[in-house]
Amino acid sequence: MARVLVVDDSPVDRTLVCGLLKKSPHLEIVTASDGDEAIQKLHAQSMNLVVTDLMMPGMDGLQLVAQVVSQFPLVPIVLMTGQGSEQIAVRALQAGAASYVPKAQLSDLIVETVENLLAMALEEQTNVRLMECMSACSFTLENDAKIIAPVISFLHRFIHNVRLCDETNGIRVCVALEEALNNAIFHGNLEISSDIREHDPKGYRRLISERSVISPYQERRVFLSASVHDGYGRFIIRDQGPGFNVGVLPDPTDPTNLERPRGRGLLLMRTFMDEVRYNQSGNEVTMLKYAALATESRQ
Amino acid sequence: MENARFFVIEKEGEVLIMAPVRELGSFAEDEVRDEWDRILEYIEKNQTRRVVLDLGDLHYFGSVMLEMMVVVWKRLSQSKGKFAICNVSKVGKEILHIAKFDTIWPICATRAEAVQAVL
Repeated sequence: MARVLVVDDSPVDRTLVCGLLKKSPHLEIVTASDGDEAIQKLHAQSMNLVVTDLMMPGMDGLQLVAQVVSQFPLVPIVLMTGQGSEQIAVRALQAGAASYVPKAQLSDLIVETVENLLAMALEEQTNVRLMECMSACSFTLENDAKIIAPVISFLHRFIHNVRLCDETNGIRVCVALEEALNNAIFHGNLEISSDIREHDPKGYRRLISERSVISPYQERRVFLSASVHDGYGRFIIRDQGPGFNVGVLPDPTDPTNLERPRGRGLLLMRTFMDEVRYNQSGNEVTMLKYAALATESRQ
Repeated sequence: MENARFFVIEKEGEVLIMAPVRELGSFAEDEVRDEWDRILEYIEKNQTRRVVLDLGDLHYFGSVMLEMMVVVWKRLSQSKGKFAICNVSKVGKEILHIAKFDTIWPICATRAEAVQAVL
């Protein structure tokens, strides 16, 4: 059963919309007579969708859209528009409303519009709830540069959902993870040095293309696992390359090395994570982020 | 610059302003690299000596972006040019500081300040 909040200051229109929506057996209807009451009800119980009038005293439909989008981003909003309010409806759509139905066509369109939007929204809402239950995840990745951004984006949401740290520290963790993934794919599995990227960018790209389709490079994978237990996040990234000697990397902050490309990624990893350690062969890095330290006060 | 997806390029007088408009990831993707190559060619072809990098649309960046900065800076240095960065996020400033790049380039709060810094 999906819960729909109907917001309208006119009792007649409210009754009309509720009557139409009650034709659908899957809907539970809750009502509010203005934007402020709507926000109170959204805080009091979870809603799957909001249907709102545009013109209301106090907080109008446009302001309500802005509030719902910012406070309840997974709850879609359907606007009911009267004649002459088309321009405000366009602004509301630009502000994040999902759809609109002219009041003159409510009886024909409102149920179908609400059911279609609910089908899409419920899937997303379920996915987010599942993500909130997740305490660990793992990936086996091919050596594809295009996969890095989506994986980092997923891990960003994961870190946020498990409340490992605040937003700023979440970004710091993602910077470290992206560096480690880059290292694993390009330096680890494909065995391509940063020096080549600096001196011969086209040669660097050519090498990536060539090695991505020949043995032994193409069969190699990157294994990434992330978990949060007992107040810390543990991130392990392992490649199937020959590994490297962490100790031979130059100090990138030494003035004589400032222009050299090597070592900056590891420096960022070490700065933004609380612990970074490599296995003996140098093809697996374990990074820890402590939840207690991961607050703004760290700075 | 035509068909730019990753960088917006603007000219303000003799200052070239580069503004990445989306996260560039590992920078290994062909589309990003092609666009980057065109920018470097433009800098060389037009003998650009004053460049501002506006990072206002990036929440963060990593070592690859740092390396790109070095590449531009080296090209400018050959012609005694100037380079400045502006609109850097909180984490971005940390990254520049960690790499000690804030010791070699002006990190400005606004684009206008950065343009002044390279004139």
